[in-house]
Amino acid sequence: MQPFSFLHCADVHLGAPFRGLTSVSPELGAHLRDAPAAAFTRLVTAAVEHQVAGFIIAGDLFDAADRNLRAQIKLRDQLVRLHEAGISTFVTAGNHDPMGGWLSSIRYPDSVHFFGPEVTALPLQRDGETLANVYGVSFNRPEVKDNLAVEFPVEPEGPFSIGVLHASVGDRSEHAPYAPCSLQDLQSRRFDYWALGHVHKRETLHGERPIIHYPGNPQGLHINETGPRGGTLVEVASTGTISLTPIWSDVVRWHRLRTSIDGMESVDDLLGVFNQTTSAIVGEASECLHILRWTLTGGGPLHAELRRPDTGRDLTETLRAEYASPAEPGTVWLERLDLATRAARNMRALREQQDLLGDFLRLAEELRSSPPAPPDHEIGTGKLFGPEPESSTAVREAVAMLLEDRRVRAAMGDDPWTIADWPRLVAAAESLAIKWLSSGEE
Amino acid sequence: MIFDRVHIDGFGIWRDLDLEELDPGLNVLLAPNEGGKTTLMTFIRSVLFGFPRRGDPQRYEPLRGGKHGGHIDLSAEGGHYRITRSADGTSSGSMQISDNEGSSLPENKLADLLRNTTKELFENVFAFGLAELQRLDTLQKDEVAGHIYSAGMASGGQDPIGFRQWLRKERDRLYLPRGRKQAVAEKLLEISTLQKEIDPLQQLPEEHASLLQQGRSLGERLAEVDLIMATRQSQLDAARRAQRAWRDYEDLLAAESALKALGVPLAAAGGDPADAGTVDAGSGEGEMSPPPPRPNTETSDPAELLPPSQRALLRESGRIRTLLAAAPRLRELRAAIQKSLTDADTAQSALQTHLKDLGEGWDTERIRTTTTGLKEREKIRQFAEDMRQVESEIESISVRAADAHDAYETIVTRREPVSREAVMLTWAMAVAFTFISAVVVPPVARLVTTSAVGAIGAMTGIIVMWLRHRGRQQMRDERLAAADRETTLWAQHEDAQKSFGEIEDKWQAWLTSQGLDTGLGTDGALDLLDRIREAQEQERRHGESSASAEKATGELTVACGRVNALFESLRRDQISLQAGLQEAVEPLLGELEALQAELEAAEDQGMRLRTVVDQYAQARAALRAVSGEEGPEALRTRLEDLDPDQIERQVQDAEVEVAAASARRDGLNEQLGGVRERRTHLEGDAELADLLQAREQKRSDLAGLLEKWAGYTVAGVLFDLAKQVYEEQRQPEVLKLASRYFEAMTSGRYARVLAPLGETRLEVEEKKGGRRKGPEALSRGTSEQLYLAMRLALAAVYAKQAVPLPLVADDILVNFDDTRAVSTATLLGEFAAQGHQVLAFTCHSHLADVFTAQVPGAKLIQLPKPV
Repeated sequence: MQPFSFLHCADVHLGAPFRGLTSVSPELGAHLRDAPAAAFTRLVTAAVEHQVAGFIIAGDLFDAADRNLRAQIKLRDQLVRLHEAGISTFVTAGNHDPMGGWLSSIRYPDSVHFFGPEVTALPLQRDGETLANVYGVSFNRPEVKDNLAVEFPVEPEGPFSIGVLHASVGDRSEHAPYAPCSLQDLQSRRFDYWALGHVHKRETLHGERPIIHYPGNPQGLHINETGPRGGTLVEVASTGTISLTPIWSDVVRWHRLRTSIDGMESVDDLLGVFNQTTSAIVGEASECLHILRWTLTGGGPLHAELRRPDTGRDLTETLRAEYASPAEPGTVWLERLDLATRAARNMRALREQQDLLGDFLRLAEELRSSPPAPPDHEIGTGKLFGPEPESSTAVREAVAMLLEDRRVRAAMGDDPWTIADWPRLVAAAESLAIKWLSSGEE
Repeated sequence: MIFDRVHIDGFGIWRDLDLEELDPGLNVLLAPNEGGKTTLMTFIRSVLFGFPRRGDPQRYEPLRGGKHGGHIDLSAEGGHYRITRSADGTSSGSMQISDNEGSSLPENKLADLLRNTTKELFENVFAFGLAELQRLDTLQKDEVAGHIYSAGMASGGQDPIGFRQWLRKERDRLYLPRGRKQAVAEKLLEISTLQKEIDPLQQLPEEHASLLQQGRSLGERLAEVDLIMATRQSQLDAARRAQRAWRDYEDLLAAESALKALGVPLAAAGGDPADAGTVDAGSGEGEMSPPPPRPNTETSDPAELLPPSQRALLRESGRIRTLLAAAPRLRELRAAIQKSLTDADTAQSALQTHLKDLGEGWDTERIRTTTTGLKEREKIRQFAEDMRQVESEIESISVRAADAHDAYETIVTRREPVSREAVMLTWAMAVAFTFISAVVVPPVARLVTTSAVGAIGAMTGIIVMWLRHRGRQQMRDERLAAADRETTLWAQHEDAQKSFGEIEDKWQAWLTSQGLDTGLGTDGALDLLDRIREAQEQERRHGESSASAEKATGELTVACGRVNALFESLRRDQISLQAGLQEAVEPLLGELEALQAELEAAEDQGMRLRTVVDQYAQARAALRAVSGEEGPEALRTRLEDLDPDQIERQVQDAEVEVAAASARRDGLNEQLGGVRERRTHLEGDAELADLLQAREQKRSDLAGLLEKWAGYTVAGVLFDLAKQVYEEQRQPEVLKLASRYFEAMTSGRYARVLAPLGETRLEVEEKKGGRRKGPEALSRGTSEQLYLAMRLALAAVYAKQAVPLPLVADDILVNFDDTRAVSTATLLGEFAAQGHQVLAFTCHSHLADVFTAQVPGAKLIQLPKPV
């Protein structure tokens, strides 16, 4: 067969804002604003440089809900670049950019192929010769709960077959279960390559033919999307061997760092660790702007210093000024400094105390191990929740008024607020209780 | 501690009251009102803790005699003791404690036995009447309250209630449902403000689509207007073209008629049949068909249109004019030839004359070969000079020799004066000879002369020697010297003569080399040369003149040949040159001049023709240039039906229409530009992205606030739960016992007595429904039951922790209903059975009956009537 290559990417979310950032400088803001587009541009550049035959986008190219005209114009510009380089583009629509969300007023080049709501096959050609058949299907509405994988033929045609699908494969409680299907659904179809989208983390679900691959998103958009991000260069040799190479494209890279202050004597020790870590991070990808969330844990002499009211803020401002001004590639922006340190006290002993604080801490422990069930039970995957401890019920009832506040829900938009991080909430509550109820000095 | 016996010596109304064999369990002491129950209870308190101060009604000074005081016999810690309290002048009185042997014990033994129980605690908990029972504060004294409220609290505990309040305050500062001032509400407001900015921007895609649509629509309208505009413009152009072409059109017509007048067909003048046709017939067919190729009027010569003879003339005009220009030269040549021939004849005659003068041997050839140049002349002069010089030298030597001779002679003369003449003669002879030889004698005779001179010299020498010999005697030395000088000079003279001879030889040799007669002297030679030169000059003149004549004749022949050649080319008669060139010149020139006149006429004609043709061509070219795409023929046809006024009107009308169309087009273009600008702006507008990012940041802020709120809320929930656990599981034993007693007393109506966390107050909880209420919400009886339960519990706990003390209760059941009274009596019986001595006073016999009925072992003591 003819050797050829194609670039597979998904979940570009052009024009989508970065999530979870509280305060950023205007320079950084502008940099972030253009980051998804810049990442996509890098992928297009890589595709042109590698002279790939095809460019496959497996859904969520942009966030239709944002109705960001500029993003779609920029997208068009990049697709024109691919067109001019003789590269065919295959696009499926995902839950964020369902078919209706594409602006009809924007004209795309002829070499850009959009899949419809039915599975169809399009030839990937070079010089008139068909290299592969690309099968794909688009979301025609934001919430597709049907299994789209089973709509694909079991015996696809062509010298090489690629299935393009925006779907949640397997049990993925952390992702909205759109177009859910099982790994078996995909494996049982004799495709050579499944180009998936929807899961933002790079992952190869099946390394043998059919290769089933999520390339991840080209640009991490929040703190839970850490590490390098990009697309995948898929090269098909004349022998039919398929090799996958990541093409990192992120221009802004997210990091989480946890540092224990155990044994640290001064803030200088802490700054030393920060310095060392940021050097390593920048060294790893000097062309990126790095966003870092730093959590301080452990205990010891520094704890008292860190507990002083303004220490956290001052430290954050100092580190920002030192490492991220001006915002440009190769610098580090400290997104948040989480102070989760504690005095060198024995939590277990406190918890075993037969008194009010002991009761409080035992209840907290119980809550930590069985957080309240999500209010929206149907999103759960049908798991049966065991009998809920009284604390969980009480907490759920207590936070319900806020969770259900219409104003709050409206303000949080597509991303309705949920209590995401129970352990952190519980730890915060414990910390408050210890401060107020324990007799000992901090 | 058990009271075994109470004896009053004197206390209030009591005197010598003796209560013996008190039961270690329940004792019911019955007495009527005013029967001294309270006095008895006060007595017990006073024995243990001293009399109240004077003036205090509780002091109970004896009213009926006896010593103020008495004693109590009690058993404690396995021993029996008597405590005696008696007035001793101090306020509290004196206390003695003794064992059962009667031995006095240290005063502090009592405190030991009481485990330092204070009077206050005893009065509050162990010895109380209705008044004390109903007072809440008696349970809130620190000593008591500590037992009730602080047990189970955190070690040393901070402020749990403060914590709860703080949590609530902090939480509510962040968020309250429907609140407006809280941080969350403020953030919500910020977000909704942002959203108000975002909403219209999210309508931009619609605007963009609409702009695209508008753009297309405007484009279409613009195309229509462009079409109209093009039509109007072309009408205007046509009208302006007609206007511009009008003058050229008129010129064309004029040129055409001029050509006609000149008899030149238009086609020949550069026009074409179609042109001619349109001029004559205005054929529609002709207009449509493309014009046939035409001769290029720019380069063709209108002279071609003249008659052939004229054309030939014009063709030869250059030659004619050149030749005419040469006419004076021809005439000049003719004159020059005549003159040259005359000069040649004159020179020839002169030459012959010269040759005759020179004599035989001289002919033209010899003359020609003889050189007579300056060089030769100079040579001759040189010879003459050389000769003159040598002669002059000879003369000089001769003079000096003569002088020397004279000198010698003078010397001699003194003896021989004659000799002076001789000397003179000799000198004169010498001079004469020299002169002759040098000047007079012809060269042929020169040699002879020299000999003669030599002879003269020799003679002279002899004479001199002779003379010298004559003077020798007189002036021997002088004469000798003079003679020597003379001799020397003569020797020199001879040398000079010899030189002269050599020069003469050379002269002869030179003459020979020049082919001249050797007999010639230098002057003669010069003269001869002059004459030869004259002859040479004539000979040259003859040659020159002959050559001039020949040359001029040649030139004339060529010129005449040219003229004839011209005639030949013009096919004219040629002038015969055989008759003689000079004679042919004038006729030739005459013919030429005639030709010139003809030529000028032809040129005039050609010029006129050229002008008209040019005008015709220019007019046609101008018309063609103006006509543009319309083509000259169509334009011309159009012009034929128009006049300038009509054209002007057409121009004005078309201008108005074009201006109107242009204005519409400008308007549309402006609109389209606006639409495009707006569209480009929209496509590049990053404001939405910035706002979305800003909203996202606000959401993050909000999420932070919500999380903080959730933290407080979770802490609050956990605290409430912990408090609940505490209140359920960590109540002090006192409250647990009290709960049990109270439940018993209320026949199970109330399940629990509890102290809410961190508060110094009590609550009771109904068994059914768990409703809680404070004592203030209870009826008098029930509240008394609560406090009784609390006291029993405290007493029980105190018994366990410190010391069991007898409980003295003064008529506490009076407000109880029958059922509760029964329950309480039963409870007290049970309480007493557990080792707590109870002295229950009552003034109601039915209550005493209740006790005795419910508590079989109860000892009823009827107090005696006070004496």
